[in-house]
Amino acid sequence: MADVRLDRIRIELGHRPVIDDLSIEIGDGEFLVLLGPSGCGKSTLLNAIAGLTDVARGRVLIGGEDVTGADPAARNIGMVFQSYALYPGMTVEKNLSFGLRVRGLPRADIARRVAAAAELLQLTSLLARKPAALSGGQRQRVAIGRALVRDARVYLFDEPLSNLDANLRTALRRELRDLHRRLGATMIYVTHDQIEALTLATRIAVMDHGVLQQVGTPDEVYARPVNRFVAAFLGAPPMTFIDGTLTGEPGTLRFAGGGLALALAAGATAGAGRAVTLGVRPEHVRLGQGALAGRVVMTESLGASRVVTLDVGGTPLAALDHEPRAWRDGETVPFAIDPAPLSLFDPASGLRL
Amino acid sequence: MTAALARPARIGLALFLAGAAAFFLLPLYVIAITSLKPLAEIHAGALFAWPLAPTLAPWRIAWSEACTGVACEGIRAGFLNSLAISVPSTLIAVALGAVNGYALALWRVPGARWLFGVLMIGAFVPGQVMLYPLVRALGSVGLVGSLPGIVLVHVIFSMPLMTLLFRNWYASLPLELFNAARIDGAGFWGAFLGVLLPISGPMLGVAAIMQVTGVWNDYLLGLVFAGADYAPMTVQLNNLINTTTGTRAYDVDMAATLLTSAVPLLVYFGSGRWFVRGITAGALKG
Repeated sequence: MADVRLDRIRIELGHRPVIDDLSIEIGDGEFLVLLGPSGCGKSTLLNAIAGLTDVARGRVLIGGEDVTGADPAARNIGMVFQSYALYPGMTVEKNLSFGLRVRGLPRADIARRVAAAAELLQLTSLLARKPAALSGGQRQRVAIGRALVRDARVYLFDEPLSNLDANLRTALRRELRDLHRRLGATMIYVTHDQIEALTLATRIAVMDHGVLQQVGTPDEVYARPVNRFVAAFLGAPPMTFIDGTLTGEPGTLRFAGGGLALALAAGATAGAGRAVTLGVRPEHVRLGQGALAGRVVMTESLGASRVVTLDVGGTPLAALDHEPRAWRDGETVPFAIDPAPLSLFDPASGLRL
Repeated sequence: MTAALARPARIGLALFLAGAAAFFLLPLYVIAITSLKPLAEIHAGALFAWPLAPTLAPWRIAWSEACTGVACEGIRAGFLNSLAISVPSTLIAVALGAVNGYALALWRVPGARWLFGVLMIGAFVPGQVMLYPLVRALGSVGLVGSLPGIVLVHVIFSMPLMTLLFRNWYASLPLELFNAARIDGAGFWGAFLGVLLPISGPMLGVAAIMQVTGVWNDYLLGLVFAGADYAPMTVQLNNLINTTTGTRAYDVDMAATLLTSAVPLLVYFGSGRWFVRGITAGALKG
């Protein structure tokens, strides 16, 4: 087990920087999720930690040791790849033991570790099979086992669940979480799936265009996004943004814009008279009662709840309705917006106010 | 999926293919039946006629009695020489090509782009251009006219193509496989021998087939570098046909020709399916 520190690193692809001056510290035993859209540089960052991608500037430290120029083999890390990357000619047992064999461990030691990893991941009955004879979920478990069989200092996961179907993904997500809790190991996990990020992470690092946007616990990142990008990227159905202006005095600020007028929570401190973008999460819009009103444009069922899209004076506003009731399209519905969890952003910079 | 053709088009296609096959098979047919005819029948002149009294005598003579220059031991000696040249030339060339291709495709070799450019040029420059310098170079170390000499020449001439084939093969495999091996702690040889070589079967097969047939069919390099003691079958065949005392033994010439081309023919017939599979295997990784 070890902590990981990236110190002002720069990564270039063909002389063009894809990541520049990025620093982050990942504590011992932490489960950090690198979250971002495809092409944001999160996998590149993971590869830099693994030593599969060169770092042009800055340092990579694992357990306090500078491994910036070190070969992947010398870093003592475990890694699970998106495509599983199981060795096709080898049985599950040989796949699990390959890393131990090339490191020249005693045979008894190898057998004991393989048996333990297989037990942990319920692979014992599959040890004699080749990867081609395994299902997708089984292959992914072998890939995880191959990383865990060595006592690596850090475990890296590159979108490990994205090739699985939804039910299997949920099941393996739970297994991974359970695994992290039991092993207490440092894990760094790359995904573009916000559900995986929110459920697995002790901390989430949201990335866009090679830049860390926000690093924080899932609750922090979800409730207090530092900018519009983070606010829009997390949350399904997504946050609604409405441009408007602030009126009134600090403490009793009101927002007006896009057909909406509402009082903000007492804690809001932005200057009166300025232009702002209001961010409203659908679960904070309560339908059925309140001083505001909107016309129902569309209702989408999520099973347990419904996403109701309202037209509020020309502005579309999404609401999450947990009550088992049906709204007719075109119907005018009264609603209220919970003022406490609202977010305000600067319209120009997109930064949280 | 093959699209269904309209009936007249299909008949036309079948006729064209049959015609093309006949065109290419006709010389083989003439060679084969001539090799089975007594000389009297050949001199009668019916080129395409089926042999009236088929005989295997020309084959026996071609194999073990016909004169190839001074010696009159048939082309058996040439067969053994060709075998002695082809086997090491293939094993060494394929092994080196696989390592070269692996290094060029997956490791950062200093000057790799430059090296690759040179290889590309090497693959397209006609071998004759290099013949004289190579004779001088090998002559200066006393390797002309020896088995190691001719094997070395074959290995050198095959390097561009072998390296290109394997480089493209390893570049077509999923990179994550190689990365997984590196994370697991494997170095250059560990990743190659442990992970990548075991899944290179199709490419090894294709490369070996190309090299065996190429070396076996070679005439020029064998003539120049092998010397009299290791003259391959192709050179012996030429000697046999050009060693004329009295009447030309067309039947023996034909039999010797078929014997010489037997190995490449068998390799192609035996491995044709595999050959195609290997060439397309990179596209269908699964």
